[in-house]
Amino acid sequence: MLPFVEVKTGTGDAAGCVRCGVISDAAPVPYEEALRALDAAVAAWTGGVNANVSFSGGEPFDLPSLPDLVARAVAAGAARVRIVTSGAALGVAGNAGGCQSAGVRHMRVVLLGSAGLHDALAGSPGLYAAAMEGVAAWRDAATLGRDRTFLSALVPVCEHNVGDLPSAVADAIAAGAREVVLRVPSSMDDPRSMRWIGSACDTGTVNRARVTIEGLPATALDGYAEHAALLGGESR
Amino acid sequence: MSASPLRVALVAVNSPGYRSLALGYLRAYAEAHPALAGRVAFQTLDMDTAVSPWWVAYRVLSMEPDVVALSVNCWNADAVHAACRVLAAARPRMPIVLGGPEVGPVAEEVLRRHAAVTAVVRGEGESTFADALSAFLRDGELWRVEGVTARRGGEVVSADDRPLIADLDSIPSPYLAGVMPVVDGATYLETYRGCPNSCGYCFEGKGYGRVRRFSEQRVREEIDCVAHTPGITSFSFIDPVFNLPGDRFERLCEHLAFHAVRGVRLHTIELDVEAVGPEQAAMLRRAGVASVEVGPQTVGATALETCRRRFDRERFVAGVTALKAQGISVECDLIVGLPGDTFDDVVDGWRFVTSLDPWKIQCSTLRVLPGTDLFIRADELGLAFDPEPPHEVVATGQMGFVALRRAEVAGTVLSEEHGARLEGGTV
Repeated sequence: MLPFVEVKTGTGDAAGCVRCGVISDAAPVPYEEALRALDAAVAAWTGGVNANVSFSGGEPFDLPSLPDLVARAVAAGAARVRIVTSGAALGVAGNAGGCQSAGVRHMRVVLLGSAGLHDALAGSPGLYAAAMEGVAAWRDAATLGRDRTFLSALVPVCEHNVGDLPSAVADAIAAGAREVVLRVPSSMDDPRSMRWIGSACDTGTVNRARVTIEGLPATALDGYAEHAALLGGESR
Repeated sequence: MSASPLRVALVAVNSPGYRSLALGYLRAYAEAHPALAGRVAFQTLDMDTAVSPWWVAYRVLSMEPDVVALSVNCWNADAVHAACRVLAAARPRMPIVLGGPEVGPVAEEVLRRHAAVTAVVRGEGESTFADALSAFLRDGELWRVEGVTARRGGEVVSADDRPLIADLDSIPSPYLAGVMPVVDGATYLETYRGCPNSCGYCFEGKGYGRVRRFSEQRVREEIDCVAHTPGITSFSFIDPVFNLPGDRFERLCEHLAFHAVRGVRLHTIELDVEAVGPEQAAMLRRAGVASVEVGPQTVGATALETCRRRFDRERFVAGVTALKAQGISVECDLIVGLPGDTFDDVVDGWRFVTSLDPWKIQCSTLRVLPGTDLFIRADELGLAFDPEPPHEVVATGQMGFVALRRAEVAGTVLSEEHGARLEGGTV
């Protein structure tokens, strides 16, 4: 629900569905470009309330200058800094704790499905386990550092994982995610897909986590018309 | 040869990290009561809700008390009643006396439903409990004691209500009397009882009525006692509105400032934020106030009216801004499920408080507490709630069960999302 200013560190997502062919799109952006985007975001901040910054696009941890970008955001007064990642890099020794020491409090892991489907869609065997190791390292670092942190998951929804969404949401929550964002193509508004998306939202509620929808008016979901604001939209 | 004193166990099942100020007052008052001097011996057991009821009972019974008294709130009621069942089974003739906001307003129902309970002290407890102990020493006829509901044979009988204590200074300070330890960060003082507001969901004003104050001298002595205790870096006040209008508040701040310069801080002070301007915020800072709680609970016009609560958006924003400018951490509280609030009102509340970027946002679900205005008017307002403690709202006239559950989850997650921040983000 809190707004974040997006600073792109690459194109595409940190993990993409190979069956949809989006993975080939992922690439880091040049440092200068990311820096310009950050500086522009900082310049646009209005007084009073400090802004939140999210580094996303490609795999931010592939960017050697990520620590510098985070440090600049913190120095500029960002209240919250988020990284959107595949999660695997968090399992590398020192990364999770290093992020938190640098001021990153929000981590978002891209998941393509539940434990059984994620690797198949990512085309990368073992990626789910690596992501979960990374998430565990993030949580351990937060416990050690006594910092309040917030873990969320991003699920780019496609025809290959829509039927898996309730399981994906449940698995993400079990791993510690307090929010799961479903990024839904606007074309995916057929009744069957909507039923799965609605079930995923309900799975979040009964597991006491928030599910947010991007890309599709939440009012289209059965039973959510009056509560669309919860899902990232405006109520009817 | 004198008879052995009546052994009384005062038992609290607190939230972790807390100690029961209520039991401290009861003990300090009773120990100073002329009729009880030398005739009653107290032991206080402060435990927390993580302790199993069997272990609570074990600890109590190992003290071999003649009477057990427990303080009951909505959040510990299940644990207390479970412990009472074990205690009654183990020592069937040992009287068990309950008091506190969870049982006082529904005392007769408590006695009918819970066979283990001997009596309930209703309302303000100090003088009633002391008289109840006198009754134990005399003839055991508790049902004659003003402010007590008790059993008489097979009946449940309520004696008349007891008037509120007119002179609060007649209640000794548990800290000055030495019956409560001063614990860093977990010591709470009270400068008055009652509340200037009468919010429908709150027991504070309903239970104690008009505002009655401890004397300034008494408050200063308590502050000095606490602040001079070695190792104390912070304490708090439980006053529902710390910044009551008037000179007294200013003098209190001036007194606190002497300790603030030595590094003693005040945490989680509840304020009428709409009364706070730059000058008062600076005064609070000088007094050592580090963090405050300010509402607004809701921004919905209908709910505000239904709950008899005022809210001036501009003054609220100005107050929060002034406090933040002084480096005081502000916690904004919101309640999900107030009667009159629609789903959109709840979301408006979230948007409003996040726009202020306070240090902390606390979203809680309405609890329809016994004795409150909402409890009494529940049917009229279309409020459905769980009759068992903690009495969480099930549905309102504006929000059904599903909507409330979605909103409470979203509110909780928003609190966590907001709290994960750089400034003040350490647990």
